[in-house]
Amino acid sequence: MKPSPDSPSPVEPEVETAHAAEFIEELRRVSDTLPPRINIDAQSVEQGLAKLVLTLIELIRRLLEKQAVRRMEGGGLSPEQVEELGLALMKLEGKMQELKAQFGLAEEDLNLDLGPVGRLI
Amino acid sequence: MNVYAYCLSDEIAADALGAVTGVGGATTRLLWRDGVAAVVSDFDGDAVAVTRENVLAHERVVGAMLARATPLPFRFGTVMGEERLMSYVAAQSEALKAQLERVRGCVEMSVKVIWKAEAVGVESSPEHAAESAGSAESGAGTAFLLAKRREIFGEEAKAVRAKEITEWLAGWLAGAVRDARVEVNPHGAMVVSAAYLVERGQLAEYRERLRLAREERRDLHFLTSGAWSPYSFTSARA
Amino acid sequence: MADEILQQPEPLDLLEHSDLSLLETLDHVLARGIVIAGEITISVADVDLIFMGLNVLLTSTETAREVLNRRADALAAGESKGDD
Repeated sequence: MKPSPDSPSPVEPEVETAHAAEFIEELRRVSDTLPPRINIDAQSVEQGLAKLVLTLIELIRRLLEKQAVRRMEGGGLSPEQVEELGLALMKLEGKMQELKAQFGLAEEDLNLDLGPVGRLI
Repeated sequence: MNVYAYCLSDEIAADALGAVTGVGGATTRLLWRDGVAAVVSDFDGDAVAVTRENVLAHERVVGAMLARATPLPFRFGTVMGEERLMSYVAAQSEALKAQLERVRGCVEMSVKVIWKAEAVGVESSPEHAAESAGSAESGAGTAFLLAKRREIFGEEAKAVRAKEITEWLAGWLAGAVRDARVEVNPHGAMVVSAAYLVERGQLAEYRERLRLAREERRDLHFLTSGAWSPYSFTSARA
Repeated sequence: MADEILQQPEPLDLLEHSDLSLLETLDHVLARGIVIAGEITISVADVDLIFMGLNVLLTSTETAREVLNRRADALAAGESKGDD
């Protein structure tokens, strides 16, 4: 990496893989969540807010499911309780699908990149 | 008139940038404050469209800097008034200098890994405790919970495998990198996305170790890229 | 508002013509790099902070629950028969 005194020669990063198509698909998925412009306006705030709220609901829903499964495994619930719990969570999942569709959000939209902490879900 | 900010450095020669043009074809220049220089170009407006041209212009300027020194790149789209930028640099100069010191002489190398979960031995959970719950009158609700249970077990198994891959890679590269930022996503196909801070003199060693690692795990698919400016190492927080 | 949005290229337009190397560049320049709080709204530093806080909160809630669960288990084991 020798500096050339005259013309600044940018270091062109090399990209190498034997599976380009797969990575293009995955990286596109990542890029699709990136914004079309780097600025704030009323519309993107509104969309962002819906996404934020639904992401939180989704997180809590998944925690509830996990907890329900844990309780079921623990064996402390009667079969009737298990059935009821399952039905309630099933309805919740259905409702969540509706909301996602309403706001035009896909499954992978309901996640947040928390930078150093990783991803939320 | 706002400025578009590309990167910061404390070791730029005045003529370093030469003829490199930035976003919108604007000429790049340096703004110094407290021993830190910001590479900027004039920018009319306060929103930057994410277009191929603009993105490449950003990386072109940052890349030109990397050919000479190791800068701290700004994220794409950093636009503000000149005074605002300078007051940021002044306020953060100690932290910025410390971070420049951490990346000095290094470049960022990326490794992304795609796995096929089934090929890595992740399968649905064994049935054991569930029998007790799903006794006689198992209806839709019970079936739902049992399906969720299998899903959760599968995800936990994936998380374990993903962690193994991360540690395996870290083991191979440990001696050749100064620092690492690794994202693990067991739920996606791209299970690991890692950025390594590699000293320029260590690049050959790094590449060789990575090559050997890749040979060991032919079941995984790798994408390697670099050298980049240390985009992933712009803050001290790990 | 509508006009303003029409003027802005959608990321899909950008990506349709993209290759691997551009996607890798996007991954670096759009997702990483120094962020001056308030200047780039996509990554709003405040939101990061809120979520970091949330993460800590959730973790501690879970830990607290585990402790409670353990205590409940211990109690159940101590008694002749545990029930809810």
